[in-house]
Formats: sequence, C-alpha cells, structure tokens
Amino acid sequence: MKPLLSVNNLSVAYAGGRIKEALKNASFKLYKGEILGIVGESGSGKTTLASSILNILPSGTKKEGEVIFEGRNILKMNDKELRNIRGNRISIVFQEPAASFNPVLTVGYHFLEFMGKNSAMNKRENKGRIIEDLLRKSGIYDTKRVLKSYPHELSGGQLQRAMIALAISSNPDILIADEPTSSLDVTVESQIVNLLLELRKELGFTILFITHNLGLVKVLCNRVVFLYRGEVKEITDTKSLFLRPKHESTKVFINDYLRLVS
Amino acid sequence: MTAIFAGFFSPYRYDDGDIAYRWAPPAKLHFINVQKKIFRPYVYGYKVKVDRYYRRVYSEDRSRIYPVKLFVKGFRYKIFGIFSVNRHLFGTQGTRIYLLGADLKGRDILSRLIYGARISLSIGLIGVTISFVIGIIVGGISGYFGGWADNITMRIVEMMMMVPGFYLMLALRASFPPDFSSAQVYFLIVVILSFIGWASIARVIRGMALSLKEREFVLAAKAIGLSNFKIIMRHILPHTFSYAVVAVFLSIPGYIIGEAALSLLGLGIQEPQASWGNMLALAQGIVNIKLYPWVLTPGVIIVITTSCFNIIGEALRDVLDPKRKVFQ
Amino acid sequence: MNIVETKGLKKYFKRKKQLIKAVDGVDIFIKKKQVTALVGESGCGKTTLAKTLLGFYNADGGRIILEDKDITRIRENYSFVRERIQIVFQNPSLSIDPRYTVFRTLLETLRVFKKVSIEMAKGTIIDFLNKAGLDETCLYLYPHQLSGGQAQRVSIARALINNPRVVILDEPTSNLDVSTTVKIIDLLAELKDKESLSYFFISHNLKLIAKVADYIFVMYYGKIVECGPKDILYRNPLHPYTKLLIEASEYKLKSAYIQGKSKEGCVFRGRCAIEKPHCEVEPEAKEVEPGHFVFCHYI
Repeated sequence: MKPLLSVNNLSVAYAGGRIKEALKNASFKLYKGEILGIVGESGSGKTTLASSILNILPSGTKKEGEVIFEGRNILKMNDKELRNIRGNRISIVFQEPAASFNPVLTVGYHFLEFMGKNSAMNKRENKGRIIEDLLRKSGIYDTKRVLKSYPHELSGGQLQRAMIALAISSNPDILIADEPTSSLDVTVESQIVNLLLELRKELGFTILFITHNLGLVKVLCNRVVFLYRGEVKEITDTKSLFLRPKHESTKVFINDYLRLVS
Repeated sequence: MTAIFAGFFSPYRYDDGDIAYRWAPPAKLHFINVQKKIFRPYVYGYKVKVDRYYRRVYSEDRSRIYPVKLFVKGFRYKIFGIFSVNRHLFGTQGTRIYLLGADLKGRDILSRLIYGARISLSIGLIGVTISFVIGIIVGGISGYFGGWADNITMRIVEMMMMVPGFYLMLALRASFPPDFSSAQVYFLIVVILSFIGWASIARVIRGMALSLKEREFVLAAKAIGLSNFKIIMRHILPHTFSYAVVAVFLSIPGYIIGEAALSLLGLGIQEPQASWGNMLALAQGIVNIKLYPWVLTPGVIIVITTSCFNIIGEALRDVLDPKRKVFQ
Repeated sequence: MNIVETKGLKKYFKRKKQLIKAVDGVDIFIKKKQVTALVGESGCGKTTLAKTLLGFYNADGGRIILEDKDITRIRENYSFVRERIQIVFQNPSLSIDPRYTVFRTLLETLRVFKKVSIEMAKGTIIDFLNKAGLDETCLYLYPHQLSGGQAQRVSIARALINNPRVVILDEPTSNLDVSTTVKIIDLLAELKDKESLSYFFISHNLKLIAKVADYIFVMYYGKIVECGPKDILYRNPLHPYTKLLIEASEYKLKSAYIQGKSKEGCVFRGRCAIEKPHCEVEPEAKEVEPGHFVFCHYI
C-alpha cells in the first residue's frame, strides 16, 4: 500500500551556539487512515520531527533528507506550495493552546483569518454558520460566547477544542497533534482524545500523534515510532511494542511506564 | 583618578590667580624648536597690550622660552590630607602656563577643572549611592510586604515624582541660609539631590520585588523558615542588582548636572572653590563667550563625562541582560 | 496516629469583588509514616491548601493541628511548624535560588535553626546529598547546571536536612521525564522508611497516586468529595466525581463534561450524573466503609 507521507533519512541540526543534532537519519511511513504515534522522552526529537514535516523549523536549521507528500519533497517546496500544504492539507495542533492564539485577537477573528486564506471558503456566504458548526463538532456549544472571547478568557480545554476546530476546518489529509493534551487536566484530556477519534471517524483524516505518555499510545495509536535521542529505534504496532520491545532503550521506556501504573 | 590626586595633576591651586594674566588665552604648547633643536615641550611668555577699546590683547612673547618641565616644584598640597608634597606633574618656572586659558581672576582653568572634578564627581557619586540605597531598601520592603504599607509608600513616591525636580531642588536650597560654609553647602547639596532621586528607583525595585516574591525559590526560602528580613536581603534584592547597577550609571549624569545647575545659579558651591557648575557661571553672557571661548571647557567636560557614564551604563545593561545565552 | 489534622479549614480570596473559596471547609489528616495523597484537577485548591498548612496564608476559618498542637495562628508557632513540616515544590529548577550554588542553598537551610561552622555544615550537607542520591561533585554547581532530576534531588535534600516529620510533596514529578520520575519515586519511598517520614502527596495524576498512596483525599473546587484507603477507594469509588476521574484516567471519559463550580449546595452540582433536587443542600460526610467517607446525598 502506498504511504500517504514518507519520511526518508531526515536529519536536523539546530544552529545557535553549539550545533544540536535533534534528529539523525529518521525514516518512517505514514499510511492513510491510521493513527501513528511518535513516542519518546522529552528531548528525543519528537517536536523537531513534527516541525520538520511542515517545514516550520527556525531559519538557519540544517536539514537533510526528504519528507515526501504526494510525490513531492516538502523540505524543498517554495513558499506558494508550502502555503497550500500548511493548514490546508496537513494541519497541526500544538501543546500549549494559549500560545497558539494571538492574545489580542478574539477567537472568532482567528477563524476568519485562518479560513480567509482558503479562497473557496472566502466566497461562501454563511461563513459564520460554518464556523459555529465546526466549534460544535469539537464539543463547544456556547459558540457565540467563545467566538467573542479573547484567548485568556477561555480555559485550556476550550482553547484546545477551538484549535482542533481550526485544524480540521480545511478537511486536511493529515492532522499532526504535538502533545496536545500534556498541559490539560485528565478529564479534559480524556475528552479531547475521544474527540479526535470521533472526528477521525467522521472526516477520515490520518493522525500523527506525538506524545511521551504510553497510556495515550495504548488507547489511540495502532502503530508506533519510538525515538531515542534523535534516532528511530523501533517502528512497530502498538501491541508488539508492549509485548515484544526489541531495542534496549525501548525496553527501558516501557518498563518505566509500567512501573508507574499499578 | 585625576580628581583624587588633584594636587599632583594641577599646576596651580584653584584659587591662585594672577590678575596680571586675567583672561589669558590658552597657551600654545610647542614641541619642536627648530633653531635650538630641542624636542621638549615649551611655551612662550605672554605679552600684554591694551588696545583702544581697553581690552587686553595677548600675544606670544617670543623672546624667551620657558620649558615645560615634568615633576616640577610648585605649591604645597596634601595627598589624602596626610602627606605633604610639592611636586606636580608639569609646570613652568618664571611664567604662568595656562594650558586651557585663564578666567577673569587669572586662575588657570585646567587646574580649576581638575579641582572642580573632585567636587562635581563626588557629589554625583555620593548622591547616587545614598539615593539608591534608600530607594532599593524602601522599594524592596514595600513590594515584598504589599498591603496598605505598600499603598502608602507608593503614593508618597508618586507625590515626590510629581514635583518637578529642578524646582524642588531650588526650593530646598533656598530654604536654607545662603551663607553656609563650603563644607555645609556641599553636604546640603548631596542631601537635596539624594532626597529627590530615591523615588524613581524605589518604584522600579518595588515592582521587581512584587513579582519576585511569588517565585518558587522565595516560597522555598519561606518554607525552610527564613525570616522576612533575610529573604528580602538575601534572595529578593540581589535579583534586582543587575537592574540597579545599570540604573545607577545612567543616573549619575543627572546628579552631576543637578549640582552644576545649582552652582551655576550661585546656590551651590561658592567661590573660591571650583566646581564645573560655578565655572560655567563665568561663561554667561555673549561677550564672555565671544572673547574668551575657553571658559566653556567645563561645559565640554560635563558633556564628555555624561556621555561616558551613559555609554558604560548601556554596555553594562547589555552584559547583564539575563536573556543573554552566554551569561546563563 | 494523625500527625497533622485540619478541621473545617477555610481560605478565601477576594478577586475583583468576587469571593473565591479556594479552600472551603476541608477536613484532612496526614497519618504518621504513611503517604496521604490529595488528588484533584487544576484550580481545585490543592496548592492553596498546602500553602495554608505551611502558614504562607492565614486561614480564614477552621483549625490546623500539628502533633496535637493547634497551629492555626501561624505567627505564634512559626519555628515549631518550620521544624516539623517541609515542602518539595513542583518545578525543581525554579524552587532553588538561581544565584546560589547547591552548597550555599543547603548551608542556608541548615543555618536557619542552628549556628554551624562551614566545616561542620559541609559534612552534614554531603551526607544528605548522598541520601538524595547525589555526590559531592554537584556541591558547587548552580541550578541551571543541573538536570531536572538532580535539581529535584537537591530540593529533597533541602527539605530533609533539618529533620522534619512531615514532607509535603506538591506535584514533585510533574515536570520530570518518565525515567526520572521512576527514580524520584523510588528515592522518596526509600527515604520515607529510612527517615521515618510522613508524606502529603499532592498530584493530579491518578495513576501515580494509585501507585504511591496509602490514603487518598479527592478534592473538587475547595471541598473534599471522597476519601478512603487506596485499595478500598479504587475497588469501590462512590462519588460521581471520583468515578469520573477514574474513567478519565483510562481515557474512557467521552461526554462533554465542563469543569466548574456550582454556586450553592453540593459543589458538584450541574455536572453530576445522579443529581436530584435535594442536592441544593450541601452534603455531609457518610462513612460507607471503615475509613471510607463520601460527601453525597445519594450513595
């Protein structure tokens, strides 16, 4: 089966003082319809990986390798092509919802601005209703109030739902979720996780889920890529990861997790 | 340095004036004498003529050469008030050497500048130190404890900042008798300047203390049982030092100019003591500036000194910036 | 048996003309030589409770009893409290003064209660660093030169160096890696037995609490809704909020439940699956099994 996204020998090094090798020769494939987990400790390179796929690394970062989407290498695309991909074909939801919104603009304004760049959206008259539908799909029911609010007036959970609504507004092929629930309470986390599963069933996008929490992996992901210090150590399905971890670092990681749950 | 060892660097005392040479222009320092093949610095004497407007016109009297010697004997002065010495860095025998010209009483401007530096700079530094010590302590305590004490303190600070500094300074000075002795005037000026200056630093430090007191390491210090006083002194205030040091350097010029302004108006350091401010008093009036432009040198010196402090202050601010990765 | 007890503890805040009841009539106890846990989500008041126990805030009502002595008026009992209760904070690198070396931080702590010379102090400090799993090499390092795990160990050493009886652990591993968390939890368990300590473990992580706690209090917006010994509580959770938390920790919670507090009556009103008209009245504690209390009308 042909992969939706292919990462081949991706190496990333940050400039700035000492060159920090964030990723070394990472390779994996993402297939349509699956939920692929990218797992590792903090500093293992997970966020770098997510940023690389959309080519949103800071300027001056050294990149080698390929990220192939629909036959073309995202790392070598020009601005116009990238604008077509980002937020459109591939969307991303970040860890800190509050940081993803401009604090002096209302949530509603973000939606208008974001959807405005999609010219098909722009021409539709009932933009307002479409936005409200999106919010409701993401579990926000007092839509008018939320749209009028500023980011600091909403809770983390509400903001993250709004972020997800934004991300799915263009009906993307791939949704990248970079630790979307790490800063949220467990009740909210559980709801967001299940929301993602529901939305996927309804809209059919593929999820690339980045986390350090193996509990989430068990519930969400059917396949997992395990990163350790910038290198891909293991790629396998979730069950095998827990039952038959092959690499030493994977074993340690799984053991630590198991020790903390009774 | 020059100011501290003023006696050594100045050829003359600040009050030593030779009327015969009043308003003498700066002497040209010659280095090369082709005739006699001398390569030591020397000056010519002054020849004075009175022209038809009864002005004194000076020109060089080339009949005699007065070599400028180093480490010459001159008037007696004391180092640190203890050692009595009479050697000076440079000087001449037989005539007066006015490298920067003379003022109306024939006093050497360079010497007065050097002695004046002592007064102007020290007032600046002492004033700043007192202001900042008061301001930091008041700000730190106010910010840390908060509540009604903080409110009252800040209202007082705001009232002080509302009054225009310069006029407050004049008013305070005027409320004291004009005929204080030099030492008393000096002391008074320092006190007045400190009194005006502590408010703004107090407010900034109070803001910093307010945010610092909620930081976890301050809570930790509380948790282990440190007294409030120790917490403020050991944990909160040290974190304000990097800001405070920069603020100090950037404020010193204000104090120097404050003293200069008072002295310029005659309310500060009195004659015959020299200060950059009262030297500039002689530069008032277009006639004096046109005929004897060298009286403006104190102004130039003030500008240079002020710029120096500003530059050092800005450099320090960059060095101490906590966001600098190198520093971390 | 109870080294610390609170009865009806209250702490209110006035924010912009609104009264926030951060801690609203809380009865808890910390048992000797056991791990007593407090679990709750963000905003439920657990950190405020910890700060009130330590005396950072003056209680607005109720009593705090430490070793049978009433310490509610903290100012009069300052050193008594500080000698006996210590705290380890959530963020290790922020809870140590960044301008102090490890040595100076620990020295300062040691000198709060006794005058010791630097020589004598050094021995004690190295001793406690070893107990926390560090060696002398980090003595003169600054917090930013330490890893998260090392900084937390220093925090632990600092909390223990004056030999307290009770240690409050406020989310001690929430900022740490999984592997570091395991090591710190093991260290804490070891120290509890070796130094005969009682722990008050605050966390939002149910799974972690399930592992470390002996007795658990569940807190929701300023009130305790359920409490009991760990095994009993997990086997038989009764309060709707507790059940919700357990469901959520297994990612089975799907419904749109919104966090928040009701204005009067039972604090869980408006979100409760089994709400009935009588819930307008605040529920009292019901002892369902020995040691297992629930604050609900309908259990």
